[in-house]
Amino acid sequence: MIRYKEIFLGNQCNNECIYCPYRYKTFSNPDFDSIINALNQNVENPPIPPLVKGGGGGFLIKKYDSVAFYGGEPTLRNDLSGIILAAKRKGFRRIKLITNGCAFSDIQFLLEIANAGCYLFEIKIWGSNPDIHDYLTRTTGSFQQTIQGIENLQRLSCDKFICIRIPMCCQNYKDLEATVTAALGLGINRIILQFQDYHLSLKDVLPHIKNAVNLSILNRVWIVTEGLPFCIMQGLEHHMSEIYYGWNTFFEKVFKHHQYCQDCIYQELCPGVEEKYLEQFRNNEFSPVKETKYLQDILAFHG
Amino acid sequence: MDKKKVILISLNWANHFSLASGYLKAYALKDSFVRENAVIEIVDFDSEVISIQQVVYYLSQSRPDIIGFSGYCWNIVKILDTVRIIKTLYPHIQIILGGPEAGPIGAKYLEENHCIDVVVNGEGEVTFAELLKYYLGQCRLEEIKGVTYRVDDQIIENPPRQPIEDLSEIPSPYLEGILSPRDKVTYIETYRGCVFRCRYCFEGKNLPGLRFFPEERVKKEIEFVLSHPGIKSFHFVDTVFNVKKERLEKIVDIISRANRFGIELRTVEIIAEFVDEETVALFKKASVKSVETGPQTVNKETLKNVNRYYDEEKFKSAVRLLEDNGIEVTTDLIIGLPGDTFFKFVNSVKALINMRPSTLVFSILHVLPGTILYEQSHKFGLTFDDKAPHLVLSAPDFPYEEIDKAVIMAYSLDKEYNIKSPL
Repeated sequence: MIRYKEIFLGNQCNNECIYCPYRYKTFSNPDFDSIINALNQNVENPPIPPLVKGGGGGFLIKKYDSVAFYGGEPTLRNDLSGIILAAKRKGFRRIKLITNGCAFSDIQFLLEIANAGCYLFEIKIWGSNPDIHDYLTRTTGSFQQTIQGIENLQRLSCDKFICIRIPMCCQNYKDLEATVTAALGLGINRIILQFQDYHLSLKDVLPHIKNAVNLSILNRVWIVTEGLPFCIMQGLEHHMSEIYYGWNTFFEKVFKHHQYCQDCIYQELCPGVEEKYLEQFRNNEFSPVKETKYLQDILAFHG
Repeated sequence: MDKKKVILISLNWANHFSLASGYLKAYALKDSFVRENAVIEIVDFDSEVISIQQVVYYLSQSRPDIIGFSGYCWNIVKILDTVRIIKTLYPHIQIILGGPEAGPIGAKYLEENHCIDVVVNGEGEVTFAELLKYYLGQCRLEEIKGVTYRVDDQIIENPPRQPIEDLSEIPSPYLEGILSPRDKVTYIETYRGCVFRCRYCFEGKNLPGLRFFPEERVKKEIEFVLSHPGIKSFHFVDTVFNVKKERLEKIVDIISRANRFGIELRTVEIIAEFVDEETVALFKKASVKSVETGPQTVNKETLKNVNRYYDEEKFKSAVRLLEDNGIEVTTDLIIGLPGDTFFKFVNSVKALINMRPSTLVFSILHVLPGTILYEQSHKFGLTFDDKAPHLVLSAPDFPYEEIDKAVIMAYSLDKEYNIKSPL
């Protein structure tokens, strides 16, 4: 699947999300030159042998042809369009911004970003309304700005790809169907349901996830989940992001096998459940997957 | 006697025009009797923007005696809706339906659509000319090969017609002044048939072996198209443009000599596994800017089921070789082939994404009349929509719900992978 070179643009943010993975971290904000250096580090090591006979030493194959910028909130950098332009000039075919979308409520700023060469966006929404979203971002008005930003994106005449990330937590999981419905109404291209909160019982959120998946598929929009193990996702395996993109994300998480994993047919593939979740809920919600028609294909997919 | 008025209608896609209609007219007008007694008009409509009412209005104004339609899986529904209204308004108009959608199942079309008079099966040039002579009173319908028709309530299927052996018998619609080249949508055909026998495809089964148009005629057509003002790019309709290197060399030589204005050759169908350094050099000499190729799936079992040739290493090398030389590669995948499953399809997607072609195209399997998959759908465990465009509904290990999910996933990936920056 499409692999993005992920580049961190700094810790600054215009929201103060309760569940922000960077909130307590003191990451430094990289300067322009170090970002350019990161963009330059994009060659397979060692270079693969020449494909063309007499081609003069072979091609330096680029490791990535796509780049994703994330933060913090990358749109707060005043050199962002310069960074995007640099990525474009370095031959990155897809330049994606992972953002809260607030800054796009300013159409002039959005045009600047699009003109620089960014057409792929991943935007986080915490709820279907300002009460939930603004509570979780701890920023009044952030919901309106994000929605306005997405509406502005839709106004762009250029080709674009919009993915909505919905983190699931204790405070918003009952609103999941409404949030997905709101996202679908914005004409988006993909939805990610991210399991965010280890205080939230998987048993409680699962019916909402099933409904959300059905809503999205009914509306012909692809939807995936993150952070949910095979044993929970039985029957919904097609929607497990990890099958396609692996378990490593830039959200640092430690996974652990639970007591029943040793009997599960996916045990070699699946890293288990977030360690903190197991501390909270123990093993009660899990049962090993004993058989599935997908196992061989999924294992083959992972080579 | 007034001349019979004949209209050949084509409901095309994306503002293209019909090369088939050009061939039919060019061949029919070879006959002096047809020439003296019939007027043949070609009308191309863009099926995406034209309404049935507009087509009917056009026909109500021109009041032809005979209408011929080229039916494909993507336009047949609109054709049938048009024909039903026309036949109700003007019952005397004779309706001939040809093309790959209806031809192989002519009897079925006649049974289900009383507004159709004759269905032509196979290559239409000779059959259509003979049909015109029949309507002009010069020939008997029962003697015309390759037609299915109705006598009273009975449907008669005449013996099939073999493909035209010597393609030089068909005059060039370009050189005869029947078709005018237009930018981006002009196709040249240098041969008919296919060397491959893919079971989802109409060409290999129904037009086996290769029959070539004479080199001199191809040369004149290329020179004509390339000298035409306003042409910036053109195409070849050949099933595999690089099927034989010797012939490719000759065509490239013709193009490069005739191409004084840097006209680009776009989206030619190739077999990637035949591409080597020499081929790339030839493509560049011919100003080839983009090519389209398979593999439709990379799953071995599926490839075997559909009789598709694929060599992963050669394919991969070809994609890189072409892309690194500035020739854009479009690779195709089909969803729902027998032998594939949801995750096997996703594995094909992964394999192609790793090759980094310029464009990745997804389509859902159309179980087309006249193909092996259509005729032996039971053997392959396929269920499909009987109505055109005959989309697959399920395969043995690929149930409907999962095909549907694969389509939705592909739609999202298509948007992400093929994102285009504005010019």
